[in-house]
Amino acid sequence: MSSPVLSTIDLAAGYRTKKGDNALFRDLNLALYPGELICLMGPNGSGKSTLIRTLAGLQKPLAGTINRYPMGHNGDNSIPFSVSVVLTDRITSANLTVAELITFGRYPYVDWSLRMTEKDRSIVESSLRDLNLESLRDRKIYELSDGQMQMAMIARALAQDTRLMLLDEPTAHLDLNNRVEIMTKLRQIAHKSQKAILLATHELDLALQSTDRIWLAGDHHDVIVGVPEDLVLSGAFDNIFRLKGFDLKSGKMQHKAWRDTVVSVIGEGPVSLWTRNALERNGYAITNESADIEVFADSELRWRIRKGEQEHVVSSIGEMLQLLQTFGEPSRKIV
Amino acid sequence: MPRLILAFSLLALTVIDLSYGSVSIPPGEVLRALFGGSTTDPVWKDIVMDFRLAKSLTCILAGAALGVAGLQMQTLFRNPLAGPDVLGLTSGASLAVSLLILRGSSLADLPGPWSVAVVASIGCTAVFLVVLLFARRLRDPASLLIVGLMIGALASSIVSVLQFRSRSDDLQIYFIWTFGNVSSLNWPEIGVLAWILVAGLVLALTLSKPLNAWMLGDNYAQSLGIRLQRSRVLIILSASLLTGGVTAFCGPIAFVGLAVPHLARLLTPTSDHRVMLPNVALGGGILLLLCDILSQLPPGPEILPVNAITALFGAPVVIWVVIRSKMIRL
Repeated sequence: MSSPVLSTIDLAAGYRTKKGDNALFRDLNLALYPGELICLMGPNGSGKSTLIRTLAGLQKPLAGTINRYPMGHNGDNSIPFSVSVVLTDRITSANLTVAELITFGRYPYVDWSLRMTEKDRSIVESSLRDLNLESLRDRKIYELSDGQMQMAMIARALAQDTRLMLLDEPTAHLDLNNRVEIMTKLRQIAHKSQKAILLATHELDLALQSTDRIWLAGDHHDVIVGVPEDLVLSGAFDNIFRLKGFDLKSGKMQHKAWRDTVVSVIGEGPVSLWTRNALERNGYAITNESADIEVFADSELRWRIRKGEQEHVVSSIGEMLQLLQTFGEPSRKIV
Repeated sequence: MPRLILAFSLLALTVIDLSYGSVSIPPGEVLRALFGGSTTDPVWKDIVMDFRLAKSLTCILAGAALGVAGLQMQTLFRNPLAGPDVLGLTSGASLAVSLLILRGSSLADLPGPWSVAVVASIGCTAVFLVVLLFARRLRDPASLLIVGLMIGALASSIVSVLQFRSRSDDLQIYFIWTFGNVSSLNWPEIGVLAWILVAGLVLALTLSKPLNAWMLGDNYAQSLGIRLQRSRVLIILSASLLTGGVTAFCGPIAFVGLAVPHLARLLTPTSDHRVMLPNVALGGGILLLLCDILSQLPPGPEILPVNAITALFGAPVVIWVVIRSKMIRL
């Protein structure tokens, strides 16, 4: 593996109060490598933002050291050249266009007169392009949607041209579409330009599907590191998130088959998958063996339902559920 | 382009301001007097050169200084309602002057412009040092703003107590000072004011980078390599220098520092301080010239105090700006 972009030695992060240090993390020995997208996960209030701010150099560590390895311009290892950030701070009161906002990323490289070189300008342009913001270039930032604003903030961080990018909850308050788009973009950026990207999030589903490794904020001021799948199988997520009614190993909500009716579903592909989902959600027990009621989920969006001698054909899952209702609860037993 | 409009307006208003007054002088004659020619009535030239020119220049310098100070304060505190008076600087100057005048001390027997000027500057500096002390402890600009407001309130209440206990003659002198006066400056004083404006404006321009970065807030500014504490001190220094100078010579002039940045933003909707700083300097001069012209409109020998006009003229403008733009932006 190549050399790390950032590493910590016995790092303690948290807050200094008058009564003493309130450490949210202790003895962290972590490393971030170029080209990887890492999600820092943990429930709300576990100190993800504090750790991000500490790693970014915006907050002093309580103990230990953080080594940032710059390979940027001028061999300068000060913070603006080695770390760029996307924070949760709102900046919508500023009267800026998208292009002006992204230009801020070049501030570490220019002097007090803010004169941009050709290179600075071309980096701003390529950041605009990389996040598909060209059409929004002259739009004022207060006119952007939340998703567009987040893209612009990522473009600004990208223009800072650092090896490490830290993002605090970049997908919060966004709809599914935007969340997926942002994660896809970040993944692309990490892999394409060999950056290390660490983002704090509490959104399990998204993280599991897009991240290379996960830093999981543990219960004992520690951080558990691993590939998502390993952490799922080891039960680390279940412990820390104290999942209620969600079976992470199967990736599904746990449903109780409260109807006492067994349905066998025959079929393949997405139609079958979502048919099962609907039945489980509605309290039916599903089996692969033959059962009292059989549902044939064919791929051309029609469902054949057989119960004993009766056979019905319906054209939607909604109709199927209605039909099953009319069957009543045949085998209800009074215990 | 907007800056050309501003510069032209400033020149035009200067000529109008010079031709206006208890004796009306045609603008053409004003120009002739300015460029060394002789006027139809020789007295006109004396009026323009010896009396009105000093006043017009004072308006331009004071307005520019207050506008630049106001813009810096609004950016530093990320608050559209910040201004030099909000930080408590003007109150500090008022308190110092009231101590001088209302205590009826021997100095106050004849409070010449210089004694008042020196004392007002000391008041400004004192408040600046107190605020600076808090700035070291408070990272949050909003808390600093509250500290400024409280210092202002504290100073005002001390002034009230002093007023209650002072002689009516002293009270009158003090009140005239608080009304704001742009017409009593002599040339050396105008020279000092000009130097203060140049120093403050140049300092502000070199601080364009931190000022711009501050639009994104402390955290982002820091991550862009801005040295927050150092920049904050320099911005406060520039703003207090400008406010202190103006307040010392002209008395507390309210509202200009708050309103001018908003009016300038109306003309050029940008947050870039390299554009905004020269624009607010020109805009401040324009606004105060306009106020001075308006203060001479009512017929009669008395000239209204400029401070009465700034709010009368400006408050509706700001309300209009707020309504028009729904939300004030920095």
